[in-house]
Amino acid sequence: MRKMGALLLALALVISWAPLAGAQETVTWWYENATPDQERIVRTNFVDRFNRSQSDYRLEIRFDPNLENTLRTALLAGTGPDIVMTHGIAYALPYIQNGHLLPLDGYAEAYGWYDRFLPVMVQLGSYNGHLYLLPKSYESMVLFYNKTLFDKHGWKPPTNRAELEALAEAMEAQGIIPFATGNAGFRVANEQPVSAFLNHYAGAENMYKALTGQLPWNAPVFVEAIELLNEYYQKGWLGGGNYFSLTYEDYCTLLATGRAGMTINGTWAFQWMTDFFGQTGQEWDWVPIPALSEHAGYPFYDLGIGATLSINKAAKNPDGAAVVLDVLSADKEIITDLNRDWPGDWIVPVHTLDAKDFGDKTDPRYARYVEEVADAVAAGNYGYTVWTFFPPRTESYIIEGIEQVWLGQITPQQFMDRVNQIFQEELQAGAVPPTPAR
Amino acid sequence: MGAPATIPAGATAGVPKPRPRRQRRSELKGWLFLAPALILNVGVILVPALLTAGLAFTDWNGISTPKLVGLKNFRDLAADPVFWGALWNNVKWTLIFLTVPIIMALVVASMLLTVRWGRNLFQTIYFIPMVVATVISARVWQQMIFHPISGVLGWLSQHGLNPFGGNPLTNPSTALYSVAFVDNWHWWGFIAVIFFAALRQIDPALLEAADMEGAGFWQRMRHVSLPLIRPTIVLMMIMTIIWSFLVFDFIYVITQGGPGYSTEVLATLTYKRAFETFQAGQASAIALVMSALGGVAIAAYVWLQSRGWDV
Repeated sequence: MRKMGALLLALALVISWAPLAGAQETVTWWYENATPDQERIVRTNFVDRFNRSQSDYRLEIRFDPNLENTLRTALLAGTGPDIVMTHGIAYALPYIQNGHLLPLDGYAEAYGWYDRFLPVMVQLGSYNGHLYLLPKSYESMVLFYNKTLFDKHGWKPPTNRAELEALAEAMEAQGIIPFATGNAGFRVANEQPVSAFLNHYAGAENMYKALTGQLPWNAPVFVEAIELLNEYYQKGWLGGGNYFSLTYEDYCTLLATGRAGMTINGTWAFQWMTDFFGQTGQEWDWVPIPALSEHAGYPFYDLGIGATLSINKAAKNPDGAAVVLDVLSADKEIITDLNRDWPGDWIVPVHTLDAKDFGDKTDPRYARYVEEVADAVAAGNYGYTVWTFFPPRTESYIIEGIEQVWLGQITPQQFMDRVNQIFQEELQAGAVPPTPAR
Repeated sequence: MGAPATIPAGATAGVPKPRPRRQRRSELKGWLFLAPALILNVGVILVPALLTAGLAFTDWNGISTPKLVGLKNFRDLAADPVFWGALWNNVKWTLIFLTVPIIMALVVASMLLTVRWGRNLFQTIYFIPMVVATVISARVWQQMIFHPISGVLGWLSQHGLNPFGGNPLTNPSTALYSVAFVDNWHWWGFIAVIFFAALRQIDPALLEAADMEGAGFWQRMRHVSLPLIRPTIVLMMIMTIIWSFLVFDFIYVITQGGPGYSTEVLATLTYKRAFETFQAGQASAIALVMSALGGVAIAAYVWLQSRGWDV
């Protein structure tokens, strides 16, 4: 009996001390789909380091291939993670409008986020005068090319439409596919060439006017942009006639083996370039997308945000979540290590980072990109990607409708008429993400 | 012991007889056994189904408070060519699956019946595609058969032997049939095994009698086997209609409805409206249409039964 009493006393002591022993408060983050290797990169370079550096908070991250649906259900039920990650502003906007996200203004003041992040990013993440979203990273479309192939043929990277088309014709004559691209397995990729052609033909000013309702999307300048894209498709320049059959693995292989010359792609492709060219031993490089008409400047970068970070209104630990967001955007070592191991996915849009900070951690071509784009964005030389600035129905129609143009089922004019009709409906309904003032 | 008391005739008319206690306890037990499945069905099927039916009459982006809009979602669908295209693709899909796999399965199951050696091996081979995950089957066909560079058709193209001239999945006029071909590849063996099991239930004396009467293979099939397994065939056809209006997986993995809506069906359209364009109300309306079409098939089945058909 005495033994039993002693045991109970010991148990009571353990239980009473337990909260002190685990004094760290847990911060939860549901992350989007990632490969096992990418999961390891995030855990090693950020989660583990954060947890070692903190005495008050412990970050728990969960990778979810079905993040959008899981998150929506959880937020509607008044639960969910402390840190809310979405695939972009259009996805986050309904959460803001329905009061599921916490305004970050107080934290932004306290931690100096307004000064740290690029102003355009603060504008992008704001709604009705309050900051709700921080971009996890930013991205843009650039022109990657096979440098070995270019050197062999004495070709120079193009800076305007005439040079681009002369190059494409020269490649075609040699049996080389001008643009390595395709949508097999990822039909959403259709929006990338549409986004590039709208921006680099119509120009940033026209894009801004259309996004803010001052110019219709079926104005001639946008129709001409789609006509040009369709012309390239019909010539077989996009994927060599196999656009609908090629996955990114297929076309990156074509590019890295010199069977294709260039690809207009997003900055997430930096990782692919390293991987695929690493296997063939050929060299790659990148340049800004050439101006496709006199309306577009050069160089300029169409800006996109692949993921946003916010704090759940129902967060159990909002202060801890703010600390996580602060460390993620302030610790240069963490940011550069993440970029070293997962290039293109962790370009945190802050003033405080330049090529020097990367040292020899990353490929110099990648470090050059980070610095040049940051400078261009700071100078206002940026455009608007479809997946960041367009509302969901318009985006969805662009992805599917452009195929009808390529297949000859509708004309570019009909396509842009429908884009305009859906966009105006969504603009009226308040579904268009905020467009930063130029 | 006195004389037994007698009850006047008619004195108990209209008064419900109290059920014996044992019967009441037995009924209660029955309900208790039924309760777990019933609660699960009401919670997991009935309530979500009723909510979906209700949402079909609302404007809802999946996050905000739903707003009642009456029949607007249905009017919008009626004016939407993508919806009609998807519905027509479902009809084509249904016609394909009501004929091709069922004929293939009947022929092969009948032939299996005549085979003595290796019957189990053949059944296993036919059934294997059914147990391979959809994503795997779809990717194998997409990348290893149809692909213009790495696939069998690519190799045939290089030698000028590709009957399609290119990748049939990327041609709007052949894309739906190509996906249906892949789905049928994994599906027909399953039906063949079911038909074979039904054929094996036929009394061999009947087939022997037909043999003695001089009936050939096709005559035995037409006049003996098919009439006797008719209930199985009809049931599989009814299920085929229901499943054809729900088809999603192969199409979503292989073409995602493209190119240019050529393989869009109601289920892929529902998914896109719900989770890509956040039109949950309209997605529910499409889902309701799908349910109604499946309901027609079920009603036909019940009607046939009520008319005395042995199905």
